[in-house]
Amino acid sequence: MRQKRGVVVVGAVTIFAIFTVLLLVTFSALSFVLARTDADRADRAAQTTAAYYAADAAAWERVDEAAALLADDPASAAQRFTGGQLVLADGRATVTLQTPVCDALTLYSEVELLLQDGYVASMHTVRWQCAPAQE
Amino acid sequence: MTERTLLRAMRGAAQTGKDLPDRKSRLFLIEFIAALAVFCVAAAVCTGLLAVSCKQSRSTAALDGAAFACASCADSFKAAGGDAAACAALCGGAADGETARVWYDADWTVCAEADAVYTLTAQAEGGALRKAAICVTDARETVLFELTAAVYAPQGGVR
Repeated sequence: MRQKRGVVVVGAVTIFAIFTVLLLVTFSALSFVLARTDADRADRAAQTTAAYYAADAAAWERVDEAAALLADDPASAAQRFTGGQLVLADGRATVTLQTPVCDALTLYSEVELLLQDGYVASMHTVRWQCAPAQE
Repeated sequence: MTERTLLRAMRGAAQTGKDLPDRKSRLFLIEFIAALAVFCVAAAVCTGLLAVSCKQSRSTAALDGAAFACASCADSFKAAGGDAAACAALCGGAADGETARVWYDADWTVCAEADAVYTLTAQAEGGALRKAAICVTDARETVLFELTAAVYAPQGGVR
């Protein structure tokens, strides 16, 4: 009488292992690439944010410098002001600045300073805009 | 049965192919062990890769949150005209003189100091030109993000 033998499939384990390893490698590589891309994007965004606020602070420093020059001697303030434009007319001083944020962006700002007795009594921000540097 | 008889019987079996299932089992075992070894190596490498990705994702989320919190505080500082106490009130934190502090939990929600995972500190200074050095640190006091905010506030106020 013939005995029924157990079937041992040689090769099935290899196929299953290859498939599993392929899945593992694909998904782990995908997750790694996505994490790296996301990290790069976050780094760039953080750098741009920091650069924008640095440019913003630098622009306000220039406005403060213009106000100090106006308080010192309004007649010669426009000539002494460098790195921007200072125009005096009708008791108002207009400060126009271009502060680079990064390679591609520039902060364009224009501030009106209302003068009283040589001092800045109030101010009005006409323009405070971050735009491409080619403008 | 003597040793010689046993050897003769085995040779005979090998010649007639009766040990074929044994050979197949042995081959299957070798294949199984090899596949298992390859799987273990791949799993170890991939687990490492996944761990690195997970860590990087967490630090990215922390950087995103820190940058957002800093920018939000900078705008609050500007809106408050450079006043640290008003800035802290706008952000939901507390002020101590010229220093404003805001505490955040792991999900970047404003919380009490005791539950804080991240701490935002804004150190204000200056006269008409008010400046604030804003930074966010984690529980290990590592600086995640920092920026400088400035606002010009002449005595007459801002129109």
